[in-house]
Amino acid sequence: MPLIKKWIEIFGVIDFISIGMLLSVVAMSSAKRIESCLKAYVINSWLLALLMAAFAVYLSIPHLYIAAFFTIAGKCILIPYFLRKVIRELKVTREVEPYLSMPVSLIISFALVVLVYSFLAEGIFVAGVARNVLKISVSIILISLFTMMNRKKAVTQVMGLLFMENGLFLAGFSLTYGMPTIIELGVLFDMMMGVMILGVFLTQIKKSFVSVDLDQLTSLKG
Amino acid sequence: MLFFVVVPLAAAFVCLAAKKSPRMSEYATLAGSVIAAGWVLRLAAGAAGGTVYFSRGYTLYCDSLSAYILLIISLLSVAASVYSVEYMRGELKAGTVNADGLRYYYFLLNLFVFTMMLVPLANNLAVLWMAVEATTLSSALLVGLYRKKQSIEAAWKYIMLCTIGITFALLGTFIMYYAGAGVVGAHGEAGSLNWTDLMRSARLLNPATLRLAFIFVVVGYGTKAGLAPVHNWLPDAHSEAPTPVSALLSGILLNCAFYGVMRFAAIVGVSCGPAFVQDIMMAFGVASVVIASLFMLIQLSAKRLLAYSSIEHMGIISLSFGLGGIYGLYAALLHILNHAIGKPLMFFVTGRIHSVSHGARLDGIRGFLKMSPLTGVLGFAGIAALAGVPPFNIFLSEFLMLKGLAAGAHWYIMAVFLIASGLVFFSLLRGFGGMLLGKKAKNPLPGAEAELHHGPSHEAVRTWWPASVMMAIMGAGLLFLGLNIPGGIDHLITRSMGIFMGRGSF
Repeated sequence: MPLIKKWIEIFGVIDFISIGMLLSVVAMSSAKRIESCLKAYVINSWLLALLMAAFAVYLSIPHLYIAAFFTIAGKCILIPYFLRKVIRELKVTREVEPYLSMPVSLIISFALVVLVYSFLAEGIFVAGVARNVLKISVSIILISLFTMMNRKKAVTQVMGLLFMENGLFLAGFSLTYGMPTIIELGVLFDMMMGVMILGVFLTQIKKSFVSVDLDQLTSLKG
Repeated sequence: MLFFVVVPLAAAFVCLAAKKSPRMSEYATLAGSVIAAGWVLRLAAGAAGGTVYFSRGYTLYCDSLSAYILLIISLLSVAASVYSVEYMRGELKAGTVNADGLRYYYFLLNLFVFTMMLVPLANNLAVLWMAVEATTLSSALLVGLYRKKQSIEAAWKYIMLCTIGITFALLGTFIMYYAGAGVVGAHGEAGSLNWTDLMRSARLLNPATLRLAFIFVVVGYGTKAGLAPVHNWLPDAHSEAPTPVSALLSGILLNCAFYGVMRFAAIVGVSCGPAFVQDIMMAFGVASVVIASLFMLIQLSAKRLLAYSSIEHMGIISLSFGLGGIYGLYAALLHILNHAIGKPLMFFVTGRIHSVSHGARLDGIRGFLKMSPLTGVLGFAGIAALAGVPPFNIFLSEFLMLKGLAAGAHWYIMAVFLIASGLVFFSLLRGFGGMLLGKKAKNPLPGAEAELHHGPSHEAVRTWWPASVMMAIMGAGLLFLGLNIPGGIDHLITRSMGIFMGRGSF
C-alpha cells in the first residue's frame, strides 16, 4: 500500500484520471452519434469510480471504496443499460444534429477550459494532490451545459445532464474528498430516479410528437 | 415526534394498493392529510412556545421556522386533497383520466406531499437538497399526468430546468461542506453538513467561500422557487398540471425551495454580514416583480395568469426577506402564509370555472358569478387579496414591506414596486372580472372552441359540498388574517425572525 501511495503521487495519477474525464466530456460535446456520447459517458463514469478508488488508497479512507462501488453499479452499468434500452426503443436517428458545427463546438469547449483556469485561480484554494481537480470539474460542468444548449435531440440533453452530475461529483471530491457515504448514495439514488423519469417522458414525447427533436416543443410560450 | 412524516408516505402506498375501488384512495388521501395536519398543529403549538424538536443524531430537526412552513404545507395538503376529490371525479366523468390514472394520481399526490414535508424537517443540508430534488421528480409526473402534448412539454421543461438548477445548489452545498470541513466537528468528524452545527460555528467560517456557496445556492434553489431570470419552467408547469397540483406547486412548493435559500442565508448572513445576502435577494425580488407584472399583461389563459402572479408574489417574498430588519422579515414570513391561502383558493375557483368554460382561455366564459354565486364571490375575494386590496391579508404583508422600504429609504424600489402592483391589479381584474361578470354569450367564441383543454363536459358547475366549505373557510381566512393575526402564528413568525437576527432558537 505505501508503494501504491507513492506511485499515485509521483505519477500524478489523480491529475491523469481527471484530465481523462475532461477529454471524455470534450469528446461528447463534439461527437456525431448518440452511441458515441453514451460510450463517452461510460468512460467518464469508470474514470470517476477509478478516481474515487485512487483517493481511497491515497488517503486511506475506506468508505470511499463503497462510494466507488456504487458509482460503478449505478453510473457505469445501470444508467447506460437503461439509456441504451430507451435509445433502441425510440429508434433515434444516429446523427445528433448540433446547432453549431463540430470544430466550432471544440473551440468553444477549449475556450471554456481557458476561462475556468484563468478565473478560478483565486477564491477557493485547494492544496495538495487535488489542486487541479476543481478547475477540471468546473470545466466539465460548463462544457456539458454548453452541449445541452447545442443539441436538438432530447436524449443528448439527458446525456449532458448526466455529464454535469459527474462533474459535480468530481467537484465535491476535490473540495472535501467525498461526502459522507450515505449522502453520496442518496444523491446517486435521486439521480437515477431522475434518469428513469426522463426516460418515461422521452417515450411519451416520441409518442405524441412523433420525433424527439426539441425543436418541436414550442407550443408553450410567454 | 417527528416521524409523523411517514403518514403521507403510508397513504401513498395505500392508494397504490387500492386497485379495486377508487374511493379507497380518496379516503386514504383525506385521512392521511388530516392526521398529518393534526400532528403538525401540535408540533406548531409547541414550537410557538419555544420548543425545538429533533430526532436522534439531529437528522430531523424542527424549530419555529420549520414548524411554520410545515404548518402551511399540512393545512394546504388537506385543502388540496379535499378539492382533488371534486376535481378528479369530474375528470373521471369527462374521461380525461381512467380509474388507473386516478389511483396513480393519488399515489403521486401523497408522495409529493411527503417529499415537501421532508424539506423543512431536514437538518442536514444535503438531505434538504435530496428532498427538494425528490419534490421535482414526484411533481413532474403529476404535471405530465394528462399525457397531452402540452403537458408532456411542460413536464419535460420543468424537470430539465429544475434539475439543472438544483445541480448548482448541490455544488453550493458541497462548497458549504468544504467551508465547514476544517471548522465544524460535532462528533469528532472531519466536518458536518448539519444546519445546526454550521449555524453554531458560522462566525468561524471563511466568508469568501460562503459567498461563492450562497451564489450557487440562490441560483439553484431560486430556479425552483420561481425567481425571475430563471423562472421559465413555472408558467408552463402551473398551467398544465391538474388544478389541485397547480395549487400545491404555487402555494407551497415554491416556498419549500425558498426555505432552502433562507436556511443558507441565515448562515451566510452571520459570516459575511447581512449586506451581501440582502443585495442578492432584493435584486432577485425586484426582477421577479417587474418581469411578472409585465408578462401578466399579455396572458390569455387564467392559469398562466395565476402562475405569473405566483412569480410576482415570490418576488415580493424575496424582496421583503432581502430587506431584512423587523418589517422586512415579518412581511416575508407573513406573506408566505398569505400567498399560500390566496393563490390555491384562486386555482380552485379557476378549476370550477374551467369545468363549465369553453377551453382554458380567459374569454372562454362570461358571467360565471350567476352560475355559481359562492364560487364567484370567493373568486372576487381571491383577486382582491392577490392584488393587495386593503381588508385582505396580502395587503397587510405588502404594507409592512412598504414600511420597511420607507424605513430603509429605498425610494426607487418602492416606486417600481407600486407601479408593478398597479399593473398586476389591472391584469387580474381584467382577466377574472370578465369571466366572473360580463354578459353570457349565446354562442361560444369560435376561437375558443378550437382550444379545448378540458371540454365543456356538462353545463352545471361541478361541486362537492366539502370542497365548497373548505373554499369558504379559505376565503374567510383571507379576510380574517387581514384584520387580525392570531397569537400562535405571530409567535411562530417572531421566533423564526430570531434565527435571522442572530438570536437563533436552536
